[in-house]
Amino acid sequence: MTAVARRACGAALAVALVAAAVAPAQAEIRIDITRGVVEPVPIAVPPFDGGSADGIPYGRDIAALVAEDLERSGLFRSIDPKAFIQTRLPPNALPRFGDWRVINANALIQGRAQIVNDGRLRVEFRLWDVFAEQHMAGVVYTGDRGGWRRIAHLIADAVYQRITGETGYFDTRIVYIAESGPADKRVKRLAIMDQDGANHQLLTDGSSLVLTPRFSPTLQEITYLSYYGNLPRVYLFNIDTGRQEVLGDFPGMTFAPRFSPDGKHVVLSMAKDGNSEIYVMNLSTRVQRRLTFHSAIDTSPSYAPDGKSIVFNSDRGGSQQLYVMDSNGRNTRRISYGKGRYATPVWSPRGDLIAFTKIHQGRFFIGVMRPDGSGERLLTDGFLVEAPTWAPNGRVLMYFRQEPTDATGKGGRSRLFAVDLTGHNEREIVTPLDASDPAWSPLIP
Amino acid sequence: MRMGFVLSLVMHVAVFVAGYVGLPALQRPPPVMDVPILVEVVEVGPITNVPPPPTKPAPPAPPKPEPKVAAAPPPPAPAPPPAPEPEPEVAAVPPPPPPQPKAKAKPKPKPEPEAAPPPPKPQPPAALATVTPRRKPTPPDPFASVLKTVETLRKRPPEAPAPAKAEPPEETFGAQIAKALKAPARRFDATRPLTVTEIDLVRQQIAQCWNVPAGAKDAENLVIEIRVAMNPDGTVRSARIGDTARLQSDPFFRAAAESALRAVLNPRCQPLKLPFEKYAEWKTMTLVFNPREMFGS
Repeated sequence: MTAVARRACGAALAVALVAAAVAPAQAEIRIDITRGVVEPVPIAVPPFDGGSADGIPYGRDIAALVAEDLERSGLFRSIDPKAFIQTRLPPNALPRFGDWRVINANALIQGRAQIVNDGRLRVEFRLWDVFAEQHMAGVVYTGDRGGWRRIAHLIADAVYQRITGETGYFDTRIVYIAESGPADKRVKRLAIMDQDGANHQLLTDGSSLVLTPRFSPTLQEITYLSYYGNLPRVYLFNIDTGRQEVLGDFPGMTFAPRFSPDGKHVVLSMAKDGNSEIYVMNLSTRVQRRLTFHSAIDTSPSYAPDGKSIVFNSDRGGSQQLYVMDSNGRNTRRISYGKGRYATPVWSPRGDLIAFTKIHQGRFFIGVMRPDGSGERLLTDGFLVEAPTWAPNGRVLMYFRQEPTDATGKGGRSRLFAVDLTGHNEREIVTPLDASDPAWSPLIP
Repeated sequence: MRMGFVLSLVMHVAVFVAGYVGLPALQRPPPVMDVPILVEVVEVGPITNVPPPPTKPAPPAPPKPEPKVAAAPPPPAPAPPPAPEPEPEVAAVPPPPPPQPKAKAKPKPKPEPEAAPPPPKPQPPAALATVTPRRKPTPPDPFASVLKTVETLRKRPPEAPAPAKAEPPEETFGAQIAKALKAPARRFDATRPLTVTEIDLVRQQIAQCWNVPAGAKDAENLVIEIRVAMNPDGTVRSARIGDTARLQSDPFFRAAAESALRAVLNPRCQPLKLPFEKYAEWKTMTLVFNPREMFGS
């Protein structure tokens, strides 16, 4: 074959290849959608079918609470029932999807609440994708009538999880410090409530000061700092039994406790001779181990969800900054390099972010950054915002916000707020007393 | 001698003439293949130019503090530990009655204009005045706020919300009239292939109905393909998610994919504004949803 002929063959082959590559591209249009909107998903939650007369109030209240939960997350918008075209939604028939599409309901919850023979409450629901006319989820719950709020939270969690892909956080509780009295004689008590503020209870009587409560990942226990006999110590408190005990016999003052993700260890700071270091204690053997060895102050440790790393803050670099170390204390590296001081780091249960308090030019911020220190974003700010705590799905942060006192010493209220990690949808969690230091529980098992 | 001079002269002249005339004539003029495309862009340009900025800035839900509070606070007395909540039992709901697969009435959507920056428009024959082509007002970027940062909000005080929103000041009334007269001149030519701006139009339409899963873990890495079969009137006949295997394994992907599917099926964003004449081309399409652009950081 001559060179010319070979070249001609090559050219023909190239042409054929190009033609082959081009042909399918012409047959099929591909459109890249790179932008969208960020809006709450419109969802319709009509009252659940009550069946008999005693079921009707439950059906109504549960549906309302589900809608309220979803709406409070900021990711959903509950459609006003006045807009509903199909006003009766029988539990065992298909919804008229056209009627729901017209009012732009993207999702629809169809439910039934009955009092069954043994007097218990039986609630079932179905979640429908209105546009695709698909059944998305359906669960039946049976429980005590008094537990209807919990059933509603469970339904809201199931809907949230199905639509967003993340686990919900509605069936959770918050423990926090309830404060009352004048500033110089402040009474601080441990209090607990549902994440929506319902079922509020005080756990301690206020005779000794309590600070920084933290939930155990196993739920029944809280660890916190209490001044008893003027000595601040880390305590464990069992919610079910009400039993309280000192954690470990440390020679110095211990503070800033936090559970490990498996609930078997507590990591805390201990101050001795003006220097504070981080220790970890095994809760079953009570063996303690020192993790940091530095002349600077090391405090506020928090575990990564995989238990392999610990974030803490330290002023070893001259100012208060965030550091990450392996959970055995090795391989310490600084992660925060922004302006100002950083404090109270908390690792997200999702693992992708670390929340922190930042103090810059006399102002407080709550922010998040990735575990390598990149992507810092400040979500909220104020005269005093502090103590971020993650919802168990790592999607929402709660913290407290204190207002400045005026010249007469009035004001200075402190309240709890929650914000989505996008920085939007900041909402107050209303508490009967002043509130600080919130801690979010894991999902109730 | 003289002969040699003449010969030399003739040869030199010949070389010059050949250099000046002959060689360029050997070169083919460059093919003018680009011209049709250029015309297309120019023609369609005004479509992108005229309409107002498309999407509303979509500020995600205003943070209204939750006023609803739980029941009256208990007296501040030492309370007994809360009783453990009753354990509701959980069971799966029996499978639902089969959904009817019939699609239903599609309300007319309101056409929304195109957002892509317009290609440069040739200067119109200066009839009334020298007109600087009307610049499209920069719409407030709704996606700058997908992930809110207090810091940047503080750095950017609200007194300058959008820079240079207005048209150039020399836009006189006469110029506007000239433009208005010129506007209806553009007409659609069905013989041309589906152009970039028409695709942009569809992109814009669907984007309005796509509720992006912001804040999800690694949301910027979720790329979803939706295969769509279209009706000639621009409504969607059927749509399905491309990667069905991942639907089962990855709940984040499933949530994101379903959000994309809802965008395609949402009657508010139909019919898609595609030219009927080119139905053969867009009878089936693949829509690729990729939120990466929205998560700049």
